Order: sequence, then C-alpha cells, then structure tokens
Amino acid sequence: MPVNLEELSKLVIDGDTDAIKSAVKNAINDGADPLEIVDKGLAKGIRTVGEKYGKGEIFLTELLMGAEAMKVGMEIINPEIQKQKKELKKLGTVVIGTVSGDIHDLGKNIVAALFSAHGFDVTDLGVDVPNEKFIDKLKELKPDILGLSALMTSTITKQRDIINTLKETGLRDKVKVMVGGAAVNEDFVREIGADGYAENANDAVIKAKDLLK
Amino acid sequence: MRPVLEFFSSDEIYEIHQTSLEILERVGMKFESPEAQQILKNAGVEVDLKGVARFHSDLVEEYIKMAPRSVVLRGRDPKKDVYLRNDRVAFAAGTGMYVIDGNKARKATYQDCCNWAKLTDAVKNVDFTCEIHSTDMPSELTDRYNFKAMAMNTTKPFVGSALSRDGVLDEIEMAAAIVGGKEELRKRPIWWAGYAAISPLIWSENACTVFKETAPYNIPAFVEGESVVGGTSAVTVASTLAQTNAEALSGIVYNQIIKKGRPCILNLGFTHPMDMKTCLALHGNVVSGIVAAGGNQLARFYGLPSAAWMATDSKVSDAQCGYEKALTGIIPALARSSLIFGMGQAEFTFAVDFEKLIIDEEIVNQMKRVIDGIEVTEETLCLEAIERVGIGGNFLTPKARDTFKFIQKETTELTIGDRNTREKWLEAGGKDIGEKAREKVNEILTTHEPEPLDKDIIKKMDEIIENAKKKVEAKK
Repeated sequence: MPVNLEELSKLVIDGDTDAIKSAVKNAINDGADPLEIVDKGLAKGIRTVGEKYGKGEIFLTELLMGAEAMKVGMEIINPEIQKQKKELKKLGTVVIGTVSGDIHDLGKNIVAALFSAHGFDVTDLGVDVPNEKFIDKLKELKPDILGLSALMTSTITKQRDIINTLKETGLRDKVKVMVGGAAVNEDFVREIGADGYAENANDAVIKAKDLLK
Repeated sequence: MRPVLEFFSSDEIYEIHQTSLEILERVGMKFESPEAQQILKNAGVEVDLKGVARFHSDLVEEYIKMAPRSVVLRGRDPKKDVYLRNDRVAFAAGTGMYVIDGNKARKATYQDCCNWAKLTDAVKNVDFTCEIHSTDMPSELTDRYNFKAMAMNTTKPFVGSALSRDGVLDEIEMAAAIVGGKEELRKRPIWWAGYAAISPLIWSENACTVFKETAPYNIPAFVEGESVVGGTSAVTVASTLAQTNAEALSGIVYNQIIKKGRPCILNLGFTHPMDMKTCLALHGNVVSGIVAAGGNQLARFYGLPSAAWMATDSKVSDAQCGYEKALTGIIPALARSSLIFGMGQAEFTFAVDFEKLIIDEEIVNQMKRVIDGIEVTEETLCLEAIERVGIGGNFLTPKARDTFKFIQKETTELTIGDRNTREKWLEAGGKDIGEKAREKVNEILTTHEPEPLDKDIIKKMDEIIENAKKKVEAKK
C-alpha cells in the first residue's frame, strides 16, 4: 500500500500530536523515504498551516499546535534519517534570545517554536540575555540568523547596542539580524541597521527564508 | 452568569406598574376610532362621549395575562424565523425616509428600499429587517410598493408600514400570496403590525384599524409608547415610563380584547428625549437607552417581549455616530431587550446609512460578546491547565490545549474594524472603517442574490398594486 503522505500533512494541519506518532512510524515501516515523509508530508503540512494563519483563517494556537505536531513527527523521523545516513536540507541556523533587562518571552518562544517547526536549527538563549553572551554564541555557533527580542520601548535600544557591537567586532556581515517586539517597526529596523523584522511568528519564518536566499 | 442590567428594585417596578394602572383609570386613554370605542364598551370598559376609555386595574391585569410570553416573527424562509423572548436579544435593521450619501441626505426611492432589503438580507446580525419609506411612488400606495420591495429582496422577517385600512388589507393579501393563502397566513403570519400611541394618551384611528384588521391572522402586534421625553411626557424617566407603559398596556388590552392570545410586544424603547434647548426629538441620547432598559425590565415583569432602538443623532458616519450607536445599543442589550432595532440607522430616526449598517454589524458582534457574560464552571476556570503550564509558561502551547475550545467563544474578532499594527494596516491600504464599509456595501449589492420570489407571487402583488392604484384614482 502506498504511503499516504497527504494524511501526514493533514495531521500536522490538525495539530494531532497523538495520531502523528503512529502515522510517521507506519510510514517508516512501509518503507517510505524519510526525506520524502518530511518534505511531502510533515513540512507540507506546516507550510499549509502557515498560509492559513497568514490569511487570518486560524488562531495562533492552531498554528502552534501544527508546530507541535511537526516537532513530534520530526522526533520520530530524525533517528531514521540518521540511520539511513541521509541528510535533511538545512534551512539555516538561528540563535535567538530576549535582550538584557527584558524578561518577556512569549513572542520569542513562539517565533523559536515556529522556526524549529520549519526546519531551522534553533538555539534559544532565554531571557535577559547579556549583550556579551549573544556575541560569544555568535562566535561559537556561527548562525545564519540572530534573533533579538525586546518587548519594551525601554529595552529595544539594546537591539541597537548589540548591532553596534557586531559592527565594532567585524561580525556584522557574517549574520542576518532580525529584531522583534511590540514597539519594533520598519523605521526602527532601518534606524538601527538590522536586516529585518516581522509582524508575527509566521511572517518571521517567511522573512528569514527571504533573507537567506 | 449572563448579566442583566436592572434600573429598578422590585418595589420600584410595582410602583411604576401601579402608576400606569392609575393613569389608565383616572386619566384614561383616548381611542379615536369609533369602532375601537365600541369594541372596548362591549368588553366592559367605560368610554365617555369624547372617546376616552377609563380602564379598571383588574381588567387591565386580566387582559395583559392573555398575551403570550414569547412571540415569533416569521420570515419568508422559516429558517429565518425570530423567536422573541425576554432572555434573548435579537437585532433588527433601522428604517427611515432618507438615505445618507456622504455628507448629504437624499429622499429614499423604491430602488433604495429594494437595495436596503437586499443588504439586510445579506448581513448576518440582522435578524429582522424594516422597510425604508420610498418617496418616488404615489404617496397613498407607498406601503404596498415597499411591501413588494421587501418581500422580493429578503427572506428574513420584515416590517412594512400600513398607511390606511385599504393599505393594511392589501398587505394582508400580499402576505397571504407569499405563504399560500389566508389559512396558511394564520399559521405562518409573516409580517407584523406596529403602531405607537400618540403621546400623551391617544390611540389614533389608523392604529386601532391596523391592529383590528391584522388580528384575525394572529399577526404579531408591536404596541409602542413613543413619547417625546420632556415634551409629550414629563421630563423624568420614571414618569415617562409610567405614562408610556400605560399607553402601551392599553394597546395590548385592546389587542387582547380583539383577539385573545394575540402575540404582542410591549415596546417602550422608542421614546425620544427632547433637546430642551432646540426642541428636537433626539434618539442617540443615552437617556433613550435607559428609558428602553427600564422598559425592558417592565416588560419582563409582565412576561412580555420588549424592544429598543440603537440610534444616533449624528448626520454623518463619524465618531459621534459610533459612540452613540454603541451606547444606545449596549444599555438595552444588557437589559435583555428582546429586539433591538436601528442597525444602519442615522440622523435621529429619519435616515438610513448603508455603510453604517456594516459598521453596526461589528458593534452588534461586540455587544453579543458582552451579553454572553462570563461563564464560570470548573472547565472555564482551567485550573489543570494553569498547573500544567506552570510558572513562567504560556497558554498557547499544547499544555493548554484543553482551553483552546473556548477561544472562539471568549475572544472577539473584527470583521471591518482594524486591530493590526500600523505597518499591516498601511500594507492593507491604510483605509478607515468608513471606506472599508463602503466597499463591503458595494460588494454585497453587486454579488448578493436574495432567494427569488416565485413569479406568480410577484404577479399577484403587481395585480394588488394595480387595483389599489385604480381605487385611489377613482376617489380623486
């Protein structure tokens, strides 16, 4: 019986974190190519969820349930990919965190979850992250994207400080900097010399993919 | 609990009720129709030579009890029937003789009436719709033309006007044609008859006639006290309610005498507080809202459905219009008015504004969330989710998934207004609500196709109008 990859997409769209486990296992047992399971099944599902969210058709929770189902599915498929010595196409690596002086992490967590679901390799540094720690991690992990989150108007200036430090240390050209937070807008991004921002987590993923093209 | 706004203690309700009864006994109510005077006399009401009827309290109490506790307003499509109860709020379109067009108001035409019916047919929160009075048809016949315009363009329940005995008889014929005969009309009385007393304390001949002629078909009667507060009733809200309640109660008694068990709506929600400087009868005034809310509480006391009006005195679709609509709507909505009229209403109660109907749709959506109240159950308290999410977590992750089913019910979304960031708003064209509403009106009027009315029924209606035209010309 051919493996029904459409069904896997649908389970991601429905955010069915239980059924997706057995469905992915069955697909593997049926001999489906694990990369195909991801590409034509799970990833297609999360893309559809993202599109629906972008059009305002579903709630944020449904988007995140989709991301969770994706995550659960990937946890099962990843060992199989390694076993078969195959490699998933890497979308990119991301280092993300909430800047120092700010402990708001709701938005940052959502963005991180969605980046992961779409296949980015995400390192989350948490909240109240000192500027030096961002720089150290950049040097260590050499990510494609640095995500700086700051909710408050009093802390968004930290995003500027970090970018200035990047310039001073010659790291600015090595990474794309995305900033986020309620007070951030296009003008601010230009003003501080960041590469981009997005209005919501879904747009952040789209923006990141654009930046890495 | 679902909130119920009350302005009176139970003692105060009794006081107002007793004052109304005392008004009917001591001052009385003038019935201008000789036919009505005779009907009242036959029922044992004392009527003097000037046509003033004085009602004994016990007679009023006896007849009021005969009116049913819920009323169904029926539409051409039975699925659109509206069940009026005093624990539920339905919403209705407004009416008028002008159409607001930008900063100007122009006289409504037959085509406007057709378009109004079509628009209100399409807009979800309009449970019940009203004709607008076209001014380009022979004046004696506009009631028939408007009836046709409404019947053709909406399957929802609607109300028309009846300008004379011939008018109401023709409209009964038209309604019967739609449902398949007069016998059917008795079972499914589409259409309703509404009349307001002339304050203070008069029932006009036409009102008595319309109530009388529509009674055999059990057509619901909207019985209204519609005083100009400070002008045709005393300036206090309490006295206005006592008097308009007396007026409406006497109308309900009259209707019950004509036909026991006739569905009646006790409507004290259409009063117009007078501007004591300019003498204009207002309606967007919050005082209208609290009179209506008081009226709703009185109606609940009698176990009868009630009504109110969300309105504005503004001439354009501006901020005043928005806040007056929201305030005069939410006050009676919280007081559980059975039916709130006025979606799309503007400029006192003279005009309709098509765009405003779309904006009012949004206001009604928001009001519905308020009147749903706050549900407190073990499930809605979400204790387990709080425990699972724990300190510093968030409620958007699967840990809180058992709470997601409440999203739709607990939160609100906008259909026309904007809650986006400036960037997203600009990206979408940076339009204000009026501009978006205008686009929506155009979209509905070009794309919405109301369920068509059978050709034979339209032909029958045209014949009725033709005959009426001949009759009117013969009289001239």
